[in-house]
Amino acid sequence: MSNGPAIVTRGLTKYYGQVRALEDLNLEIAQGEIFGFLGPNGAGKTTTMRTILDLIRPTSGTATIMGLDSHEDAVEIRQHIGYVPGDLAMYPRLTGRELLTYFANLRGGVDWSVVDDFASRLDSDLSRKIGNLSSGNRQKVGLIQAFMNKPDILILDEPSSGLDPLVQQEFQAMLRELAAEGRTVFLSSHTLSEVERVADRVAIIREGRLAVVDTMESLKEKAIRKVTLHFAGPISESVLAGVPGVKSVSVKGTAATVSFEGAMSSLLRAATDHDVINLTSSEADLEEIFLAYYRGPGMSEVVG
Amino acid sequence: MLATIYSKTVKERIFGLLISVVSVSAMVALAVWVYSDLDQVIAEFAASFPEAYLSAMGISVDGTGTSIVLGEMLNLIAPMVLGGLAISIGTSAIAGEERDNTIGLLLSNPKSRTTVLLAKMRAMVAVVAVGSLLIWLGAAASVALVGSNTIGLSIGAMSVHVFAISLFFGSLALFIGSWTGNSGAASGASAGLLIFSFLAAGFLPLIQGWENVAKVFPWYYFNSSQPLQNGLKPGHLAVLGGVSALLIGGAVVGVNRRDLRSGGVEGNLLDRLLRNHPRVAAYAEKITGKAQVANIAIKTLSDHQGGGTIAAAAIFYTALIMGPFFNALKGVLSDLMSVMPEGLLAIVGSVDMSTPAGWFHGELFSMVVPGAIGAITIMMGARALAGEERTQTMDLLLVNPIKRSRVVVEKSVAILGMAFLLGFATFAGTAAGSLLGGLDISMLNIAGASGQAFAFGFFLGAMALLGGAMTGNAKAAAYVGIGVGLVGFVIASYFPVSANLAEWARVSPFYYYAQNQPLSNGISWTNLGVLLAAGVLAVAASVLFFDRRDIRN
Repeated sequence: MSNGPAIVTRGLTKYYGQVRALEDLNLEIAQGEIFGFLGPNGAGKTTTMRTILDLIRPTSGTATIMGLDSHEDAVEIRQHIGYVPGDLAMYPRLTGRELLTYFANLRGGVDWSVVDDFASRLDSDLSRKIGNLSSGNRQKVGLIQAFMNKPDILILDEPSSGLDPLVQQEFQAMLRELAAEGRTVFLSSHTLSEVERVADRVAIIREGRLAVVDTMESLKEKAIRKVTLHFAGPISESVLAGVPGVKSVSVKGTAATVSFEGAMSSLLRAATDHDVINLTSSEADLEEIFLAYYRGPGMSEVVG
Repeated sequence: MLATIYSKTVKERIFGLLISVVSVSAMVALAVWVYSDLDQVIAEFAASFPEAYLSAMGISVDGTGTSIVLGEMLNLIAPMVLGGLAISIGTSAIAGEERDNTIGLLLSNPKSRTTVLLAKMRAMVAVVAVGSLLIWLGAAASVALVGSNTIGLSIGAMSVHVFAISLFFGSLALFIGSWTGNSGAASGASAGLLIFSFLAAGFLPLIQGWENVAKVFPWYYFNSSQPLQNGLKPGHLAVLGGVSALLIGGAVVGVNRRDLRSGGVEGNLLDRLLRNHPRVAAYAEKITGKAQVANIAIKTLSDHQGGGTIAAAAIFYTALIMGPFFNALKGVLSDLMSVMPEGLLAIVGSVDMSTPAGWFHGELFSMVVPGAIGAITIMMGARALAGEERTQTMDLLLVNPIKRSRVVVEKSVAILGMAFLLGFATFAGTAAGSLLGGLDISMLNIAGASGQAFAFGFFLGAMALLGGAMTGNAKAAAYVGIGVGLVGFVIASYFPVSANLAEWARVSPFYYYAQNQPLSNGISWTNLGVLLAAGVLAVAASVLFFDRRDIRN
C-alpha cells in the first residue's frame, strides 16, 4: 500500500456494446478525504464505482487503489475496502448477525465490539431476518457490513437512501470520524445537503464524462449569487447590465435583482454611483450549483 | 391495462415456450426416426404384452415403433415440459410478483386483483394452448417426414389432453400462489404433485385392488383413456377442465382475501406450513436447519438444506417401497419378461424387470433417482453464480477479499456435497427396500449404482454452474443443466436401439450413469470417473468464464 492518493483513475472508459457509460474519466482522491461524487441518474457513478471494485472491467483506462491495480491486485485491495452498493440486496433468509458473520468469516474475522457499537449507533436490530426488515433498516445492516472491518477506503453508492434524518445525522458523524482517522470516503449521493455537509471535494459527472472537480469552497466562490439592490428612485437595467460578472438583471420599481459571479467590487462601484438604500445578498445555494452542472447546455459553458 | 398484463405475460414466456416446444419436437423427431426401423419387429410382439403394462406405458395394442415412442414422448415428456411451463406462469402470476416486489406497483393501477389475476390466467391458457398446438404439429411433421405408420394414432387428441393436464397444474400453482403468496410453495407443491401423480397413475392400476385409487390423481384423467389410440375422452377432459376452473376461482378468492406481501423474505413451503405453526415449528427448524455461514460452500449447502432434505426423503421412501412393490408385482413382471424378445428389451433399457436388480434399475434408477438428484443439483448450479447476480448479492460477496475462482470452487464443492448426500440417501433407501422385500441385491452393487448417481448429479449441477458462469443468467443456466439431462436421456434411451447410432450414445451422461447397470453388474469406475472428470472440467471452465466477464447488476 502506498502513501499516495487513495484512488486514481486514468482514462477510465466503459462501453456496454455501443452504449457509452464512462468516457476518459480521470480522478484522484487523496487519503483521508471525503470525496462527493454527483451526477444525474445514469451519469456513470455506479459504473465508476463497480469498475474500481473490479466487478466490471473497463473498456480502456486503469484504476488504482492505494497504488494497487484494481484488477491485478483486486483481492489485496478488498482487504482495505468497505462497500455499500447503490441497489443494496442481501440474503433475505439470514439475520443481520448471520450476514455479518458470513462476511466476517470471508474477511478472516472482525472485531465484534466494533459491529455492536455501529449497530447501537444506527439503532439496528441484528437478530431479525433481513427479509423482514424495512428498506431503511436493511440499509443500516448494509452500512454496518461496510464499516465493520474499519476499512481504509469506503466506497458508498447512495448510502443514506431510506434512512430517517436522525440516522442520517449519525451516519454523517461516522463518516467524519473515519475521515479524521485518515480513512478515505468515496461517496455517491443524491442528497446534496449531505454531500455539502461532509464532503471536502466533489466531482460532478454527466453523460459519462467528468464535468468538474473542485472543493466545496471553490465551487461556492464560483457560484452565481443573487444580489438585490434597493435604490432611492427608479433605476434602469442598463446601469447594471454591463458590469463585469453580471449575468442577468431584472428591475421592479426601485429594486434591481442581479445574478452575479465573481468579486463584488465592480458591482458595488456601479451601484453606489446611484443612491443605494439597501443591499441583500444570498449565499450561493449548492443545489443550484449542482443543478446548473446537471442540466447545463454544455460542459464547457457551465464549467467556464 | 388488461391487454398490457396479458401481452406482457405472454411476451415474457415466448422464449421459454419456444425452448420447450423445440426441445420436445426435436426429441420426438429423433426418437421417431430411430424407432421407425423397428416398426415390424415391435408390431409382431406388442400384442403379447400384458395389458396393464401397455396401459401404463401408453402403448397401442396395435403397437408399432412409432406408437411406442409417441406414447412415451406425448404421455410423459410433453406434459412434463408444458406442465412445467404452466406451473412457472401460474407461480409467477401473483406469488412471483410478490417475490419480486412488483405487486404493489402493478396493483397501484386502477385494476382490481381479480382483473390482474384473470389477465395472467388468460396468458397462461394462451401459452399452453400454443405450446400444445406446436407440439402436435411438430410430432405430426416428424412422423410424416419419416413416413411411419400412424394408423390408429390420434396425435391431435393427445395434444388436447396434454393441454388439459398442463393447464391443470398451472392452475394449481396459480391457486397456491394466490393463497400463500409464496412462489416456492406454489411451484414446489405443483411440480411435486405432477411427478407423484404420474408415478401413482402408472403404478396403482398394476396392483390388484388399488386400481380405483389412481382416479384421485389428475394424471389418470390425462392418459388412462389412451387418447393417442382412442381419441378424445370428453369426460376426462371435463374433469381436468372443471377442476382447473375451480382452482382458478379459488385463486380469485385467495388473492382477494389476504394481505399481499411486498418482497422481503420468502419462506419456503416449510416456513409457511410448518415453521409458523407452534406445534411443528421445532421439527421444521430441524429439517431446514439454522443458517450456516462458516464459508461459501457451507452457506450454499445450508441454503438448499430444505430442498435437499425433501429430495433425500423422497428418494429414500420411494426406494424403500420398491422392495415390497416388487414382491407384489413379481408374477406380472415374469409374464411380461417371458414374452419380450431381446430386441425389444433393448428398447426399454435392456433390463430384466423380473429380477430385483432389474426392477430397481427400471423403476427407480432409470428416472426417479437421476431426476430428483438432478433437479436439486441443477437448481444449485443455476443459483450458485447467476442466481446471486439475479438477486444482486454477488456484488457484496465479491467485494470481500476473495478471488472469483474461490467463489466458483466453493459453490461447486457444495454441489458435490449435495450430490453425495443424495447419493447416500439413494443407497440407504435402496438397501433398506431390498432388505424389507427380502431381495438379494448386492450391497456393493447398490453402493456402486448410488455412487454413479452421485457422480451424475454432480455433473449436471456443474453444467448448470457453467451455464451461469458464461451468461450470468439463472434461467439460461438452468436450461443448460435441464437440456443436457433431457437430451442425454433421449440419446441414451434411443440411440442404442439403432446399430448406426449405438456408439454415439457415449456422448450422453446417462450412458455413463446407467449403461453398465451397476445394480446388476457392480460399479463401473470408468463411468464414474468420466462423470466426475467431466464435472470437474465444467467447474474449471466456469472459473475461466466467470473470471473474465462483468458481474451483472
